[in-house]
Amino acid sequence: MRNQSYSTSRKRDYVGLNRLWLTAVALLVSVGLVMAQDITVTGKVTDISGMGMPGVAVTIQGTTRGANTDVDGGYTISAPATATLVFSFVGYKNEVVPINSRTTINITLAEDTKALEEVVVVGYGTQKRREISGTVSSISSREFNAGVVTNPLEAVQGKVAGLNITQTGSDPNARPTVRLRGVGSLTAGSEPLYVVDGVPGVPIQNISPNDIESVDVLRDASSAAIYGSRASNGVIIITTKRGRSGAASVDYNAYTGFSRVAKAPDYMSAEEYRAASRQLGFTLDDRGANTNWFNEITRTAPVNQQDLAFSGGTENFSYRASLGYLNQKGVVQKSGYERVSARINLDQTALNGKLRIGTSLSAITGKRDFVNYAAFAYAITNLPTDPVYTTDPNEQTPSMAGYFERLGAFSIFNPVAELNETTQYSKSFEYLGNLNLRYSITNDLTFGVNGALKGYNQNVNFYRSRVPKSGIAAQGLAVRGTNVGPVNDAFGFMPPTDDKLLELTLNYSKQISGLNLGVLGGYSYQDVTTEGFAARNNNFITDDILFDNLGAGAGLALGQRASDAVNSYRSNYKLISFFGRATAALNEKYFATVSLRQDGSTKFGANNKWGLFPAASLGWTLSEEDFLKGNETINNLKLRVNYGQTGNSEGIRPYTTLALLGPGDRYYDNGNWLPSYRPVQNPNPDLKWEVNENYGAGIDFVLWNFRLTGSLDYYVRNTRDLLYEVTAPLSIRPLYPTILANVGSMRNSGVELSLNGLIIDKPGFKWEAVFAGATLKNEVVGLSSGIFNAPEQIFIGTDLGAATRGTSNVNFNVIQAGSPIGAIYGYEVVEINSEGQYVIRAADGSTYSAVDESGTSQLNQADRRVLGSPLPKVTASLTNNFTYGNFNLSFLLNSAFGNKIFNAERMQYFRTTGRIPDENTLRGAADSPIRSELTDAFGYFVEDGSFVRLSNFRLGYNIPVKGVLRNAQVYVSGNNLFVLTKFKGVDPELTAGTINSGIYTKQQFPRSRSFQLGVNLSF
Amino acid sequence: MRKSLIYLALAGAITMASCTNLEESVYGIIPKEGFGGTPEQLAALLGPAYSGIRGYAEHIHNTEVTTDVMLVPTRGRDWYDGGEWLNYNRHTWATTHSRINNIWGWLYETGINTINNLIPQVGNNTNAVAELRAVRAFYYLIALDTFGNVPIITEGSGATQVTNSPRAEVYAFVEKELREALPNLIEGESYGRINQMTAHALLAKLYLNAQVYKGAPEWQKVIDETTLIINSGEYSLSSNFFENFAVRNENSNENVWAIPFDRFQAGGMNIPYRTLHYGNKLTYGLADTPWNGFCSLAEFYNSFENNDVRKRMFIVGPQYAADGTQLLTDAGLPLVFTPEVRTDEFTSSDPEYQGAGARLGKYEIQRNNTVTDQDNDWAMIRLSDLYLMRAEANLRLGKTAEAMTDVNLVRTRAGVTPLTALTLDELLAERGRELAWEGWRRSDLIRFGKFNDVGGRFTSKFMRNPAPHTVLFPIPQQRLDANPGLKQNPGYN
Repeated sequence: MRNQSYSTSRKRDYVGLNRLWLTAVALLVSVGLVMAQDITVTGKVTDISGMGMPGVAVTIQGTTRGANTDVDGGYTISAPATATLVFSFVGYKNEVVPINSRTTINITLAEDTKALEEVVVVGYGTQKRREISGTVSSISSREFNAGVVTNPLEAVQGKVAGLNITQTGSDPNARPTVRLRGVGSLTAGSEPLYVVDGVPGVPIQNISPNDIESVDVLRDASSAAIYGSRASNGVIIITTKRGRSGAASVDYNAYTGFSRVAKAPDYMSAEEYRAASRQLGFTLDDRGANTNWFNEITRTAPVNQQDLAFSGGTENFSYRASLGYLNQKGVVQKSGYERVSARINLDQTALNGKLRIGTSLSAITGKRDFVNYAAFAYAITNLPTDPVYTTDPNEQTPSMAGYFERLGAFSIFNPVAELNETTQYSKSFEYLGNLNLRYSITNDLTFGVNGALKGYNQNVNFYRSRVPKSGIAAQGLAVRGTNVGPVNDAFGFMPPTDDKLLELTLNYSKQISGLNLGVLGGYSYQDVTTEGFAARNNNFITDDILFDNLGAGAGLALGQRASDAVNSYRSNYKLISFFGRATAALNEKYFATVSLRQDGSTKFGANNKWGLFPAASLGWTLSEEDFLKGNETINNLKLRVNYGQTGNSEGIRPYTTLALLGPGDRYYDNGNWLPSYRPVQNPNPDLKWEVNENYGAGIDFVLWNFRLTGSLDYYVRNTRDLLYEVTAPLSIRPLYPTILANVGSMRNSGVELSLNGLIIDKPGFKWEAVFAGATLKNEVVGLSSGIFNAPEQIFIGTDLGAATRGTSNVNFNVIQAGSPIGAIYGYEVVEINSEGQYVIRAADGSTYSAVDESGTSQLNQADRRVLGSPLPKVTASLTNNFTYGNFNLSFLLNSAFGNKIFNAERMQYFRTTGRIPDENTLRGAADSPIRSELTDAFGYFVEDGSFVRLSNFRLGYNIPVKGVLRNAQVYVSGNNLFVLTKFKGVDPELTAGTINSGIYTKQQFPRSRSFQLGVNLSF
Repeated sequence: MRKSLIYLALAGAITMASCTNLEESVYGIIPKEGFGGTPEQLAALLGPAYSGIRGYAEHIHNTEVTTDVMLVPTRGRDWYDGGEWLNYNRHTWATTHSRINNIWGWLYETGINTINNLIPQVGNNTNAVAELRAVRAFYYLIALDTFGNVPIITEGSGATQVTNSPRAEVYAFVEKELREALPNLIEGESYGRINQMTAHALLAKLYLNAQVYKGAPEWQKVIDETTLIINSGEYSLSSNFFENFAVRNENSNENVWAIPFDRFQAGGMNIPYRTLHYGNKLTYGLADTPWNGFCSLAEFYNSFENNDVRKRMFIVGPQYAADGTQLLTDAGLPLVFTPEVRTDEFTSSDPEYQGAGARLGKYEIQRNNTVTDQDNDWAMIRLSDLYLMRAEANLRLGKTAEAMTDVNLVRTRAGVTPLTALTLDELLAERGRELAWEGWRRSDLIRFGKFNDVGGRFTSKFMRNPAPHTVLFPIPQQRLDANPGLKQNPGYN
């Protein structure tokens, strides 16, 4: 039988290096034991509610012999009368029971809430929670969020202190922004490194949460440093579910539901608009309609997910296979995401248990229907008095398709036509296959090979017909490409197309009386290629062909497409690493881990090819000391300190450091236009990874008879050599105005608190609460290094959306030493004066009107100042689980406090002048005190972005079952039930942790509220 | 078992040894070395030297708009753009003005350093090197004109910290480069490229402003260079003034140097889009919607006699769709382009906020265009400009009769009566009428001492900064930050 399933681990990790030697030992010992006198023991294993528990591993302690319980929880095992049985099941406390010659032993297993015995997945191995000295959080699938949770990040949102997952709006195709312990980089990428089943750098957005056993978050650099130059923003390790020996089981999970717009933007109705026009004395070009444009482009959107998994195994072989289907429509017409995923995980033991082979194979296809976000802006700004459709030929495009269009207007487009007449989707196919061999050379020494092949392919199709106003120019624009970003939206998600990984490890593990020693050494080679192509054509004489026959367009023949008609690209990099780690645990009291990784990447500059990343951490379990041992209140108390250095190299594209030529603009040559060749960049041979140095200290505690578990951490992250595109100094003879260089430094620090309390624990009623909170202080320290000097202030602009005019060179964020990254920056407004103008506080403290009596603007850019930070000072979340009989209720509250939002929408649409009668405006704008048309960063529109959201809830009922059905649950669940905030826009949650965060614009995918009805069945 | 272990370890060791190579495998782009060996490759390398010059069509909007001939008023919320357009015309730009930073980038990265990088690459091809040096001299001429005390960087400069060169040194450098390049430049027609005649024209431009650039005039040299070109017989004034700016203007015999544009292949020529009102889309059958920004001023418009052919370069009056429908503003009022521009900051409550200002119609509007760029080639240096330059030099040397002959040649073509007397002011006015929006107005006003003449005849009425230091743009703050060796131009801090 596969030894793994009897381990005490909450997670069965096939790369469990630390326990491998135990396997070998156990195998040897077992040979001796089977010779002893055996008796037959039978019994039943039940959970607290008295339900029989199938699949529980029953082992004879110290051997590999064992059995699994059947569907009713019954078992039979043959064992020596003096032996001891170990009952173990994932997520439950082990029971260790001496047989004492009994032939019937019934056992009740309790859920494991102490989590001290759990095994935590760390890089290239596992460690017992008890022995960990770094800062690692583990989320098992049982703890995942309820509701529409389509990717692993949504599943763990709010579960880990310091892990901040944000997303603007509810586009099913958006990827959440993930920040762990603040913001690690200016522009070089601040996403954590994702490791899936031991393979680093795997895109995780398409993985079905139902396939995931656990998510482990390496929060501090001492834990993450084993991943070297990619670990600066933390590491998130995903372990997929695997089979276990025993009877086959089948799990079927499904839900269906719907989403609606949680809150519509608050714009005027046609009647209100007419009244406002009259009130303000404007001549309205009234077409007599009564159109709610926002309603015209949104809908109630169905969602439907189904997952089927079956698993089982024999003594030497186990399997788990799953199929998943998700169809999630967006609340905006035509948007949607459809996914089919398949996964097979196999484990085989061979050579008398000396060799363990694990494979994981997954294939995922996805179809993403994208929408043009400009439609949101048009839906807001178009006149409510305009109709959607018309029969008047003068108010339609030449295609005469019936859509009303104001042909001569600059920024009015019919959003219904824009959406209906644009087809834009991508079809992705991704696979990940890895093979993991573990060979026990001796009892103490294990050799491991991990090989992985990963592929991603995304076909993008785009067609905008001749019908909408935006389609007149191109007369049908068709694009087809592979591994290029969608044409008309922000999600240019392009993971590598080919990724090969080979890792060799040697693991030595030895127990010498009270000392547990582990040493790991390894080598890793990863070869990553990204390639793609795109072709486009236009000027079609029919809209029936779409992108399916690009040659049918006349655009190429007419010379209307130049360098973008066809293009292709390919890039490659290799990452070569050596790494090692040593762990020591003395008397279960003192713990130490040191690790070192050396990373070499082809991407790095010639003068900086190799980077070294050291880390160390220490732990001391005070509760094992005499003065605390046996203390009734304090069950466990551990102090931890850690230090680590990690790198971030995501922001370096291949070839950035080289002097290379590529095609440039066309040049004129005797009547022909030919492609020129020119240098493609300013080469920087010194370019290297960003360095993150992390100090931290923490305390883990278990109190009051294991009723309260928690940890408190403090950390400081100093990041230096930040990558930024700085103005190139003339001394390097720049060929482009900017050069990517290591210039900046930044500091993040914070306190993190995690609490897990079993507040009520009665037989029929349980209440468990989990709290995760973190503070954050982020500060840019400097922006220059050596010959490269960024300006003292870097101003960052934000696109305020389609139909916005006159905002070039209007900036809302700044990067400057002493302020948080992307601080909101602009004019402090003291008041709105009687003329309706902003009264500005000058740098010297005096005040002046932004526009004087003669109508001349007086704004002086030197008067701008920091108006607030877009980063929350505190993020916190609270999960509550109630169990009453067969009912279970859980909900998650998510919150952020202390962040500021610049409400650009209100700045543009909440004033009496400058919109009506041209565009619709916010309700109440006609009575706004503001009569200024200035479009700039006025502090008047900086709002508190704090909020509390009921993110997820779920009410379930366990149906008592018998027979083949092992478990049956029905539930209702929902997302985003309410949000409490003072923010005046639609929703305060914006993507956080980029250089231009905290700017709220009109051009946003609406946030939705959703409800589902679901069922989970196990056979 | 032992054996297989040894094999495994060996295999591992070999893999590790062969897999520490960190050379990049480069795809899709090529190393610099070894490219340029064939004539086609060489031509492709020289391409960027010229494709970058198309940036001049953008550049003129940074210079003309500081003068009396061009304005970008704020129209309601349109064209505010952080106040940068207003600051141009008012002469109140800051050292952080983003468009001024763009000028520097165009000059030094797109232009000068790209060419510095190319010169070693073309090796001992004397003609190619000469042509590259001449193109580089053009960029330096603009740098000399806009920023003045700019660093001189050549292909031979070491990788040392860069410092400013005094303006007179930059002047001498431009002169030397053009003179040395001249003999090896193409003789005769070579459309779009710098040939010998173009180099002479650039020298003439340099000498014309010698007083400003180095503190001493070179009027005779202006006469010599312009005369050489005029007498070459290669160019003649077009009978139709507007032929030089037509969509198909490549056959103009008046354009001494034209920069080829193509709406699909080589974009950037978009003056009609900058100036026309949104609704004019329906006038000219445009597929896209114009931007309603750039216009001219009444004072300049009124400086044209009514029978002046060139006055037709303005688009004024009520605007109609192609089918005769009256166009409306966004406020629903009839759209009328008026020369009068009451303020440079209109609110949308002002009835004329979208119609104020005569529009720039000098470059023929490409009807039924499907893109925002046009096919008109940029008339960089025209023969009529050379006549007026020679006239100015003669006038300043006291040879009024000769000057008047040249000026009247240009006036006659424009259909206006010849002058009988000529003053410097009259000559400056004539240059304005003939050359408006071609990119020379700023240096003309500076040369004539009218650039900071608040309330004067030749300055925009919105110009409010008499400070003399604005005759040079500031070295952009970002460049100062990036190059500690650079000093700011006097008067800026």
